[in-house]
Amino acid sequence: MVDLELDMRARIGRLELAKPVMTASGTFGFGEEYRSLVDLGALGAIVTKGISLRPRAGNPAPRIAETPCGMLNAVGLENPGLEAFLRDKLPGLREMGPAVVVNILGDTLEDYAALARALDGAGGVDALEVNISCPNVERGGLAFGTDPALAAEVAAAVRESTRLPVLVKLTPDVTDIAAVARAVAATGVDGLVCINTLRGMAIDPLSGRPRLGKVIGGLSGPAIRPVALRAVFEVAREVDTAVVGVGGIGCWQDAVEFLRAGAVAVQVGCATFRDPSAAVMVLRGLEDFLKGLGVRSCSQLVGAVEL
Amino acid sequence: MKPIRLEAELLDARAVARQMVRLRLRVGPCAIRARPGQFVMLGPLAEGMDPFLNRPFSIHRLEGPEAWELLVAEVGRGTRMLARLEPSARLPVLGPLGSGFEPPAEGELLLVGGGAGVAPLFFLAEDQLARGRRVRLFYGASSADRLVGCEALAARGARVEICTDDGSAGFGGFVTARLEQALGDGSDWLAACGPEPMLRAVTGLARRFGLAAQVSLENRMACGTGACMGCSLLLAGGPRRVCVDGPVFDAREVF
Repeated sequence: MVDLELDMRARIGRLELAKPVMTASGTFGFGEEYRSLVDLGALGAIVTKGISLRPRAGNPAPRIAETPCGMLNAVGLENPGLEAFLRDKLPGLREMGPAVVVNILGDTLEDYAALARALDGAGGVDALEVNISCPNVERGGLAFGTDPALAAEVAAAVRESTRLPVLVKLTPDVTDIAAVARAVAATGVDGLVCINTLRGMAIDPLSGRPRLGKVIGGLSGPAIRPVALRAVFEVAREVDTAVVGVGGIGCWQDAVEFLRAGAVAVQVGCATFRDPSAAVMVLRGLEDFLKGLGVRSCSQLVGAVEL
Repeated sequence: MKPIRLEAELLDARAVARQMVRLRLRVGPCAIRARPGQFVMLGPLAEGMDPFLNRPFSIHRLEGPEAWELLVAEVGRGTRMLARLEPSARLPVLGPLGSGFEPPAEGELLLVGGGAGVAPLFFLAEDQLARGRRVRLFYGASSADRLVGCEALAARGARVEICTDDGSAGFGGFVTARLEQALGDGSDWLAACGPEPMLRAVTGLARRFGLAAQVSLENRMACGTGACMGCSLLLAGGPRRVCVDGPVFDAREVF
């Protein structure tokens, strides 16, 4: 009897990944930070730190605070800007093996379109992830992501400015994430990424000072996993567009939950801070689990929830 | 060397001063490849997801060819958990990380440490003493029962100037006051690590007396590898990550 190889490919619209596990934006830098520590080639994709047209210095310290089973961050999209990214970061990323997904963030619709155009011609970029859900910047970001019509405008502007597959990362800080998902999906994007961080804060009870320099930041980690899973479930039921799950995934069991809820692939975020090889461990554990189940492909598990 | 991630064995966790614990970790042959000023990320600290983040500690001393010592001040839940670990416990370690001190080739080296910030200066002092250099450590603490390792360092040949806020040992007053008295005797380089107000004051003195100065900074960190930008400081020259652009910086770049 022939032992058929397990098919781990994940199809996110026009983007096909060899494996269904990626790193989440903002938690893996540009890959180079982990090159000597992690078997990068095993991963499906590296999603870069968010890139803006011009360099951004980010927010004042402290930028991070530990919270129960998670963390708050208010980094504020510190990044070297498009030009330096293309010159200094992209060449290295191309050589690492996984697909390269560039996360982009603008202050205006024109910024998003300009980023999309520039990255379209750069070569070596496999897809764009549109950030309309960052809670840590004054303009753009979350302001676009909470209004279905504005979210769709950004998605359409990017979609029309590039031939690359386009993923849109959604915020959970809305009453009805399915409504935003429907509006964005209607623009014909390739995937919806659920979810970005939730807005949160913490105060030092003794000093009375907020634990973040920016006061309010984004909550991530296992603490938000049930929220992320619910968002994936609601969105996947609502749209035909592929859904990518992210939020508190730290082990293969978590990944299985998200696949069953309807995600075709997952991203591993701040679990990488605890163990640099967290994403690789998620992938290996998932492969072993699927082999044990006796299924032929990872996609068979997608949406397999017994209601 | 590039950082590696390994499972260290805790040789012992010993209380060395009030609310100060010294961890001795066997990490293997990579121990001697660390440079003074570098640090490690310790953790996960527990099986579950709480505490969530790993913790940065500078390397306090080399202990033999295969072990590092870390100085842990008990300031919160994570550090209390570390202080209560039993010998032979296994602890994931990522390191060595960050930049090291770059002392000049000649002259007496002035080191200024405050509180637990003295930790990396011991590694630097012992490394330089072993190379035959003269080392003078100005060591400030709130009180005598918070001082660590002074006799041992003096026995290795360092001049240790103790300063306590309450006068319970050595000079009574801030370490910067004692340092000010001693400057102008020909030394032209100093390294400092401790609370930010101390570093700011030390930098001011270095500027006044024309010394080059390096400071080792602390900040909250998530990754330790430069990926998360969580420890970036907005310095005059732009954002700088404490974990990979530092933790040791030229003082003029910071203050």
